[in-house]
Amino acid sequence: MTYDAPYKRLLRRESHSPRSTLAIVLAIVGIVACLYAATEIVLHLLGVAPLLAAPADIAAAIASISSVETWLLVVAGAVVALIGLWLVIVAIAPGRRARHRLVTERSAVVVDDEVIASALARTASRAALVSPDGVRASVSRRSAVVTMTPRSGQPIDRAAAAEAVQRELDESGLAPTLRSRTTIEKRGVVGA
Amino acid sequence: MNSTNRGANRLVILLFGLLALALGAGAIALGLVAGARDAFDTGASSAIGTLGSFSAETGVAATSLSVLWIVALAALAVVVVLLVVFIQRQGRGHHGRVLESEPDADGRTLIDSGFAESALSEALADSPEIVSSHVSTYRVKKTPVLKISATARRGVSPAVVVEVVERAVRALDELLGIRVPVLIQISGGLSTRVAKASRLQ
Repeated sequence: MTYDAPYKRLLRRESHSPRSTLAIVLAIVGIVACLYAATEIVLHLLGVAPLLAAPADIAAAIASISSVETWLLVVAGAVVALIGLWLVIVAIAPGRRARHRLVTERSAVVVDDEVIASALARTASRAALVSPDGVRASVSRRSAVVTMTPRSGQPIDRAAAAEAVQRELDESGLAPTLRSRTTIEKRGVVGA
Repeated sequence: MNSTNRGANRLVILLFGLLALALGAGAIALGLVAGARDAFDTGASSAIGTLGSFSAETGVAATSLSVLWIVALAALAVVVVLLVVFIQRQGRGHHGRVLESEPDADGRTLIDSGFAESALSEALADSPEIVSSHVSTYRVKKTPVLKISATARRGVSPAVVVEVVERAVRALDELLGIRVPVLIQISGGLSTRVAKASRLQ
């Protein structure tokens, strides 16, 4: 018995951001704004002094906003428009997380790219006999880059490291598939 | 994993974004386009005039209250309620059972998710490959799903973590007699960077 359909959905949800934090923050901003407006209206109806400004004053201020200095209007407008543009992009962009997916016979798996990088760094360090501290690895959606810093005067077996890294990736079954690039820093470090 | 409505999240962000974009663009137009400024000034003063006369005409009998205020307050209340419900809906979907069999002649079997969760946590607690783990149960499309979040020790290959976790999962399969769908999430995080690389492999 396999669970291909639920696994597919799970993996898609786990590898994309739900955008919850931003949505909640915006909702709270909306709630605060509405509560403030409602408070001012109620205070006005009760004939009590306003918190900041009575509703009629706010309306009048908005109506006469064109009397504000031009540069201020343009700068403020640009800032607000940029924030809006950013929000629209965030709402539409896929929002992929830095994760890779894997389906085994038993389970669905999502792995942080960071974990893959850390494992590749160790593989490279073992294959090329470099100290673990002398290897850095980073993983993006489609590629993995492993950089080794040699100890001065000691050559590194780049081919062995590159092969071990690529073999580990080929055997991992991670999706999307990763292509590796293994490089050696030109400048070594003394006593590293 | 949870039942957060992601479409709604994006819709809320999109609406706020479009609102901000429109306000910002409007302000820029007011500043730079001479025609826009005149149009806005006449439009705004006539709108305020209309509002004022309308509120005077729709006064509730024997009070100085205008229906407009009531309408405005009701609209604000509706928006607030919608947004509160929207926030409340986030992150739900936890589930209390890993098995709810259909009742038959012999009765009905229910297995609490706490049982599966603690069995798995216990099994993973002593694994040197895993710094920490957390197990929770969600309901996805009416099926209970176990989510196992494991923090891998630095340098441990994801394949090894999967192997360790699946060994525990298979033992649970054996114990329960059913195979609950499983999602394994392997993360790095701060504890991976801080944890010492295990020398035992």
